[in-house]
Amino acid sequence: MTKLTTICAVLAFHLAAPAAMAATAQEIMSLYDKQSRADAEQVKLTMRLVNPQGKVRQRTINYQTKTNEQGKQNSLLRFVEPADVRGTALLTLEHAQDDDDRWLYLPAMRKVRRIAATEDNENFMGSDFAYEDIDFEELANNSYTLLKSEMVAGTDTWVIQATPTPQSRDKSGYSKRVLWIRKDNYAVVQVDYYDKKDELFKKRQATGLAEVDQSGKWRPKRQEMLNTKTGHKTEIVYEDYRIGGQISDDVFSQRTLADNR
Amino acid sequence: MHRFAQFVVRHPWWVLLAVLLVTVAMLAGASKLTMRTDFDSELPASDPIVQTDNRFKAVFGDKDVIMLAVESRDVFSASTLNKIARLSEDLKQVDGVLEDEVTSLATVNSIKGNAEGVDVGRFMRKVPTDAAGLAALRRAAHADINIHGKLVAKDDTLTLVSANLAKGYDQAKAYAQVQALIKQYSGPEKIYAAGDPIATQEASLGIQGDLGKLMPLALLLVVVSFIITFRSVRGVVVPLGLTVLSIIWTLGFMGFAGLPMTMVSSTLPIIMIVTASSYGIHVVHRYYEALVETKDQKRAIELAIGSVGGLVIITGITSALGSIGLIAFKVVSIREFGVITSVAVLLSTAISLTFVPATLALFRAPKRLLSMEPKLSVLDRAIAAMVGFSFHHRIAVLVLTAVLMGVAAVGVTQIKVGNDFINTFPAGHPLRVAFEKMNDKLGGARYINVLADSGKAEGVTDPQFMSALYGFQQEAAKDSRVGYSVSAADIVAQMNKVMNEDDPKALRVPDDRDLISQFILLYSMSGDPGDFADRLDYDQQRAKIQVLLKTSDQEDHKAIYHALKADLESRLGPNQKAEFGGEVMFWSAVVDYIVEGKIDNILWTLPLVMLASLVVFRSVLGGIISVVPIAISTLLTFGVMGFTGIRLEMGTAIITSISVGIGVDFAIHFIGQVRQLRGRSANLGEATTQAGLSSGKAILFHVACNVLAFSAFMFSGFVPIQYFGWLVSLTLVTTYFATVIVLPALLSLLRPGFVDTGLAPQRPGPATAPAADPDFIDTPTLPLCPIPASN
Repeated sequence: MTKLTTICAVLAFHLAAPAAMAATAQEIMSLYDKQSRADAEQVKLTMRLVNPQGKVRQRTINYQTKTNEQGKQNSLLRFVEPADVRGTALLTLEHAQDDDDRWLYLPAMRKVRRIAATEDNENFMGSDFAYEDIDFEELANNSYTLLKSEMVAGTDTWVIQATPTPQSRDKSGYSKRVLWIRKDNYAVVQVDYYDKKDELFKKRQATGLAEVDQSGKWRPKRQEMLNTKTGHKTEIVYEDYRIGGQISDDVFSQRTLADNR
Repeated sequence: MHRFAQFVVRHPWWVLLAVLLVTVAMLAGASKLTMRTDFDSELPASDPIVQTDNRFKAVFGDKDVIMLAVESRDVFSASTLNKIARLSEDLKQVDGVLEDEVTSLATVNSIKGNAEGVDVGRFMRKVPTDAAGLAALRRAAHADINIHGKLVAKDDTLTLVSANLAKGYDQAKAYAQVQALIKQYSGPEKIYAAGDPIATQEASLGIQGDLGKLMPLALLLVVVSFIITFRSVRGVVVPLGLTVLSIIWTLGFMGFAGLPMTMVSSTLPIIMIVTASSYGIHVVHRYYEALVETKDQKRAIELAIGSVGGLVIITGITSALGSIGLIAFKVVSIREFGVITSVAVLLSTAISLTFVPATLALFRAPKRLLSMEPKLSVLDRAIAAMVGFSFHHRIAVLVLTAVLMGVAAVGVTQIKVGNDFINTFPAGHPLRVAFEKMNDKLGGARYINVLADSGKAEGVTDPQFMSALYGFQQEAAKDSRVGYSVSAADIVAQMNKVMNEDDPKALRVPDDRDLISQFILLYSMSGDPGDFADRLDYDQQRAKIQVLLKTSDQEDHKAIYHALKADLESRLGPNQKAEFGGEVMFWSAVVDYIVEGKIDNILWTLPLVMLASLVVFRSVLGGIISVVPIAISTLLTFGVMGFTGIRLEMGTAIITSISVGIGVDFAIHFIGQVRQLRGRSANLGEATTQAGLSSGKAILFHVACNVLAFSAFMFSGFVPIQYFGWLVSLTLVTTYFATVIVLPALLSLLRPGFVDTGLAPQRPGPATAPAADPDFIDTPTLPLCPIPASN
């Protein structure tokens, strides 16, 4: 190849690059964060824990969440299945400064009990998802780098590396994450999680993305989190998404926890 | 044999070239040699315990564990707690460690009651900074049945930091990283390491240490004995070359055959040193004698090979037969060892008949040949007197022998069988110390796993079933040899207590099935997916109960197993069943196989060796008489083991086969000598005494050389191998005395015909110096005759 053709090729590459490539990683992540947040949201989810031997433990949960006055989330999880735990409920009230308040209702005891708060790097409901995986993105606690663009399952994505800032490194269970974010709607389709040894540790995939209730918010029909080190995985199937609409504040109160069966 | 000898002497370079080519090939094989230090594969796959363990693994998975025991004056001090928190964090960096499966005071989940409700989650979120906080943490730990006496010693001086490992980790790397952590975090706290990668790496370090330390030592010892015997360069170089080649060929064979180095087979190089040096001594010594006689280098070698070659082949075959009997064992390492030793002995035989004469042919005949002066030393007189005495006082000797055998038989009934693998390591070994600390302070380091099957999906949450498990655990805890046990049932009971305002009466399994399910849900929600998966299967049909034992005595282990099994079965319903597995059960099975294998092995080996002697002497009585000394010494050795408390186990189980292989040669030499001397003397008593004078002394030297080389084992890094060294030496010494004391008495009593039949051709030579007869089977006057210096 002559010098001239090389220059031409380089120029052609730059001209052909999508305009979106100009977006910074920080901007992409802001838009991703915006699309993932909703003031009120509810969904029925079926969680399947699959152990490396292929055995499955399945639970169905109704999940409701609403943004509170502090700009944080109140949420209620109520078990629908299996039958012997039906009605078991967990209420979480997040606070901006203090520890979260959590209450538990066990129908077999007919008692509401306050339970201790959790940490970000603990697992969510005994699944392969950590609390930090299902929470909203903490934009200030990470630095982002745009690695490349890549096609995933027929759609174009940005590949972004997220590294915890030095201040938040201890709170996170990861040394870094790599996220694949769709260019058309800023929804995440894949995340690789690296442990503190900087080795691939978990792989998350979201499929069946669709816009819910014309809200501009895209949600997956199914998510899977695979622990690549143990071979354990968690699958979640979502049904009856509802975004926006009215959820009474009463839903998130200790008083109604026990009788809201 | 003579033809073969002639060929070797005439074409030494061709023979050596062939030996060299084989050696190069064997070196390539040796480079493929692997090491096996895990004990999981010791039992055949068809064994019921192996199958139970496989079912456990299928249901609950199988992860290796690293355990660090941190010893401190007070675990609940800010400095120690901070250290534990940092150590738990740094342990995540160790190769293979699953970062969310590290368990310590800093990571463990607990169920605590508090003023408003219940705290299910991290036991210690932050290390308390003030005295009040530390005191509260201590109180909480004492109140938590899953921490007090389990994760932290009841006296608060020891606590565990443990981690599960992902498959395919690098054992040597993980071990080195753990050792670095121990170094970094020790002082004033002491840290002890245990767990799979630590134990297997210590075992492989022990094997490497043995190979690196004992082999040179044993070689040095045999070189010293060569120097004393032959006082010449060739007298050292030739048998030493034979020994080294035997080791290389054996390791090469192991590499090609895919047989790994194990704790048992790590003894091979020394056994090769002993065997090969014996062959070397025979051939070289015979050559010297022939040289003195013929003054002709080539003729001397031909004569030596011609006369001793047959003997070397016979003893090679009998030794190989002795070893192959080990395949009677179902324990894999021992079976493999039997095969390797048999092949090794035969390889060694081949080398001593090729390399040795070919090398000797390259040396020039020594200029100065001293003619042998048959002089009787004090030792000669003593042996002759001993042999003569027993020949003439046969009844007294045989009665005394019978009494001694009776005593030994009593000892045999006292033999303790089997050993906990931790006792393989000598007292004071870091791994053994770690185990002892955990046994003393944390309720045990050994465990039995119980797989309790409720018979149907979701059956575990049935209050009857879960109460049965809880009751079983309560009953097991009454045995002082049991540390504690863990299962889903004690978590449910603890939860019931906490949810009922910490009422001690509520520490039990509730009667409500839904409540049990909800407790399990609550607990599993607060942990990692792996947390509860270790105690309940995903269908909630089977539960695992792990019972930790404080004792390392295998007879206790068996007794506990039978008691546990009977108790649990009495509690379970019609469709419910329990299976027992885990490492304690595994080692118990190994012991059963060792006992069964040992008996089979002796029943096989003695007849095989007897058959070989029968062929040599062409007489049934000859076959029987030749195994008498080894039978006596085997019984004596087991008697000594019984009285001294040395256990029959992996290491000591191979003794008989090795000592029978070597010991039977003594009888063959001795009887062969008597037979030849009968050709000159009509008097059996005279022939026997003469045989004692010549052959008896040769055997004594042989024994002394072997015991010297085997004494290297006493410096082994493994206790069973140390015992092996002592016991093989003891067996050889007793075989010697049985040969020169009991055999003469037996010959005197029975006057068997077969000793008269194999008359050697008459040759000129002094009747008092049978050594001058080149066709003698043995190499009499071996040790004390002045050997001519070769240069």
